[in-house]
Amino acid sequence: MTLELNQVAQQVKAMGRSLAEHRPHLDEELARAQSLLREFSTRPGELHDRIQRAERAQQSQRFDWVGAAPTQEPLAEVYSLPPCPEQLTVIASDGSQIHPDPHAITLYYLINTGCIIYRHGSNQKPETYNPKPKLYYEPEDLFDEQGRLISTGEVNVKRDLAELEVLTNLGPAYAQIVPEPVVALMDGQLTLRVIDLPFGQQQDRQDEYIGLLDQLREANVILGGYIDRPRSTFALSLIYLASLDIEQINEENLRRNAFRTLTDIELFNFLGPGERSAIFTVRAKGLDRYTFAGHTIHFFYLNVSQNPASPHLARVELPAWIVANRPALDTLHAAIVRQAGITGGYPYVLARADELAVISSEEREAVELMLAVEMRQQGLAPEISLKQRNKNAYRFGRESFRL
Amino acid sequence: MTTALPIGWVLRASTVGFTVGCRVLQPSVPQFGDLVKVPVSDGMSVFGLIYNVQVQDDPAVRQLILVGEMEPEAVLDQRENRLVPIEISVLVVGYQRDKQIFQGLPPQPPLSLDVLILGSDADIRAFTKNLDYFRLVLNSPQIPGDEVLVTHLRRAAEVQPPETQRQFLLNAGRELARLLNFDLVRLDNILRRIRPMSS
Repeated sequence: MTLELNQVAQQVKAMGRSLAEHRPHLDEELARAQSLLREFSTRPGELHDRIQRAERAQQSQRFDWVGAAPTQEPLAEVYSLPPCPEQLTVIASDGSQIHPDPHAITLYYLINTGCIIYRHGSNQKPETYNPKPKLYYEPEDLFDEQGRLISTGEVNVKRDLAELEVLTNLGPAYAQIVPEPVVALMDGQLTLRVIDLPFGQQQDRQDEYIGLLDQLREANVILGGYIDRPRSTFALSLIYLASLDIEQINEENLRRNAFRTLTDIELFNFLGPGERSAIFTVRAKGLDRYTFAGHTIHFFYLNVSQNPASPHLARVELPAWIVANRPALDTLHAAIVRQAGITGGYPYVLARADELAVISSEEREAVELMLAVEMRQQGLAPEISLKQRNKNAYRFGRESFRL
Repeated sequence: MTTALPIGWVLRASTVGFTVGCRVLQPSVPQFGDLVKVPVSDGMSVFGLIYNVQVQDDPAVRQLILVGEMEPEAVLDQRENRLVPIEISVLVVGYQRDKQIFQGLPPQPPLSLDVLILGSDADIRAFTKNLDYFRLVLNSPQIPGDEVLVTHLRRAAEVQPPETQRQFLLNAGRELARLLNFDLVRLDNILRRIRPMSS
């Protein structure tokens, strides 16, 4: 059966009405949140007290309070676009993968990374770099000690490590040979997502990752993570605490966040072109190891648009050592806006790094074909599962009749 | 100009023409009206004239143009690093088997991924000894045949020995007059543009 679009159409209409109906309430909540942001803009002490109480309340229920903590910058302050160095090197990497598929002809996975080095003001063509793709097929790559197949989350961790490793190889090398500042941009958050890993591996992988961050810090590479269209609510979680009297902060009230349908980028919708918000610290228990290593994760919101009529806010994550270095912070701010200016809203180097890394469906098919040929030459019988064969037959063999 | 370096690879082909894909800034950028050849199987090469060079559409380039913030580094990246394809359309005008050149359509078209190379000066001199291929160019619909022929003949004349350049163009003019005697306006337009400089 195909999707009955006429059935969906009625629901789409209802959805449109619902969105419009909720908007006035959301606007009221947003106005209240922005008012609190201004009210508590220079009252970081009171907010820190509330955060501590929230963390204690959550810990008693074995949960973690996750949100933003203020830094020395006033919460509602707006920071205009600093001048960008004429000469500036921006390096970005990205990764892509083929996940192991039990229905494919054999079990394997593959990680591919791409990197671009863009030297503003050089009049030179950017350098591109594709490390050798890595194919994983040995039993120790695929299975854990209990014989369970590696999860997609574990493969993603390997990919994220490979992305940072490329930056760690190239960032310090360029920092030595070019006179201008070197900015390294990552697509997404700055921390390694280890939640999908077996507990025993989480710390090892985090330590490995933090070791790479150490190398970038030692080489004075200006590091940032760029999150496009974030749905994060770190700052709103803080503002919700501000809305409560400190005595009201308990586990029950923390579950009733009045701002839960808003996002931080709505909260900071007053940022003009090129402007950034105040810097906040991310508070989450899983990030302790970064803090112990001096990489406490901070963030700010940045309007990368050049058009006042169509703002485009991104979240930029940065480690503590960039926050403590104002020229580096300003360079990161200016570099991202300059990069986004090339494409009209997204850093050019990230778009290109993605293009260099991405494994298209055609390329995946080519890999599978090579594998099938090789397996046959080795006297093996490459067969996809019956489930996959039937999916292929029914999904791709169907012709539609259009009016 | 002489080169044996490939400038592109056949994307699709028929007996009467084929299309070649190539990247920007190949060692020798193909030009409208150039004589090119594609070595195919069994010692045979197919000759053709370029009648269209088309830069393919690319969403990323379109986006950069819309934004208008054109940094020179981004332009170089797009032109030299990205695989933005150029399509070259070629009209088949003859073929060579062993050492012998035939003017007309080949028994088989080139195949996908056959290599396109620019015809050498020697190739051009050898091919233009006979001018029977004019009819193919002039009678091909949907291509700017007159323009192709004018550009091709000017370039072909340049690679002839100096003492025969004038005679080459006079012969070409006579052949054109024979073929286009029913359309004097069209003939005049071509002849005026290939007229040899008076010595």
